[in-house]
Amino acid sequence: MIHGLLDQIQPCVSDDEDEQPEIDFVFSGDAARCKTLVICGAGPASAFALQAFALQPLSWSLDPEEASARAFPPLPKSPKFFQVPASEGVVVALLEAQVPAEYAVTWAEKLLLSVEGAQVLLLDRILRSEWCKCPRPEEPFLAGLWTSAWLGRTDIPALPAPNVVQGLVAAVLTCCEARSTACIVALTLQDGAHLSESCLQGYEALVPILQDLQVVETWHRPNYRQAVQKVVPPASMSIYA
Amino acid sequence: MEAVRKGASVVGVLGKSCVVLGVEKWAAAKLQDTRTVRKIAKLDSQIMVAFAGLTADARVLVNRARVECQSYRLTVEDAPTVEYISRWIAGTQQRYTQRGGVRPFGVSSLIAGFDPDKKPQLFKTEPSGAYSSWKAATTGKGDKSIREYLESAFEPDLDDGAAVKLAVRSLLDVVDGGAKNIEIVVLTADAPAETLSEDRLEQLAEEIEREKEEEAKRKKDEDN
Repeated sequence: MIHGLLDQIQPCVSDDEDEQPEIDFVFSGDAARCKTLVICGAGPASAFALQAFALQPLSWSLDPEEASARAFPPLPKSPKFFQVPASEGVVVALLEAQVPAEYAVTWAEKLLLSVEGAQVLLLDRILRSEWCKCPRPEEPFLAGLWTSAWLGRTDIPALPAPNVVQGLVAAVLTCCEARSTACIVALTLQDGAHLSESCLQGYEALVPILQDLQVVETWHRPNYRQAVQKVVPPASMSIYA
Repeated sequence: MEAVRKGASVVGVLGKSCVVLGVEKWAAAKLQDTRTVRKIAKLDSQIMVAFAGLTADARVLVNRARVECQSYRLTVEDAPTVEYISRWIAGTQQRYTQRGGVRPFGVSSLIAGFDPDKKPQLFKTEPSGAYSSWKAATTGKGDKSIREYLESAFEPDLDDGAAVKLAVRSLLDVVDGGAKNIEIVVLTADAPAETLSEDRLEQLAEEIEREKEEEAKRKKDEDN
């Protein structure tokens, strides 16, 4: 009975078995030739990249060092890496699922350390319901953040305060700022839970920067409907009319 | 409102003696029977509704509105006015914003028709329960761009042909695929609602294209 009470008196004490194991990631690939790294978050960014960029798969990976069944949340899968054949040194990493915030810093550090010296472009989304300033913009809309080392174009509007970024976006920006790496983040506005074509259209504001970085040569508007279907399987019946 | 913004575009135009409802038709699945996918529904003999938003919510709202129209006829022994049924639909939508355990209807509707005194009317309701009368209204995906166009091009007392052309032209600006992805219904006081055929819509689209080209040419000559 006393032992039971002791547990209540010292609630912060935990057994070693309860501790979260430290997770590290291992990068494999020939990252020395990477001059520009484009990271595309899950959802609209990946859909846009798959449809708008000419991509050739690379056999690179960024996997957890030890697959741990006890890790919670579950460990992120390796992103899929591609190269842009027409441009030397441009690598695109597509995420199929969000990287949990608990691993975001370690993940970002490992990836950025592996491609040290490369400039970074991160494409992701921000939900309209999370927008902190009135009036809320509508799709298509793109906002950005960049590090002080970014000397390229900044045609896109800066994400206004008091909006904040979290998770992988924050981790990548922080790592890049700490290392004085040129990095720009582009966030497209997503209105609601369902991905729509106008959400992807927001990335069109990034085209001049993509051309400067040689990620795309010439721009032709892709079929956004097909792009959405690549990441979101079509329902048998549309719930919208 | 998010659901409404994701719905296909809908436009309504009030003419001198007609009301025109136009909707964007989305491609149905290959095996789907397109006759069961309709965005314009009849509420009463002279009242039609077109909606944008969640299909299931719209179906429930339309069914209830139809029952209310019949109930009105039985009680009052007269056809309901467009304003009455619009107010009723808006009131229903409002109740669902102010009650626990339910969610608002994700539907915005354009209700068009004729009152018993043969006056054409067009009303718009929103998920909040707000409703008002309009001379020309739009809702759904292309709301912003269609509204800007209507504000510049609408004139009062349009004849039937001009009202139909205005509705078609406003939809063609936002619809992919041209006239085959548009449905137009024309209501007049003394005849049942007429759905324009695909051939007629193609013809109108060609006329509009020619007019646009002539306008562009005229503008170019003026600039030169």
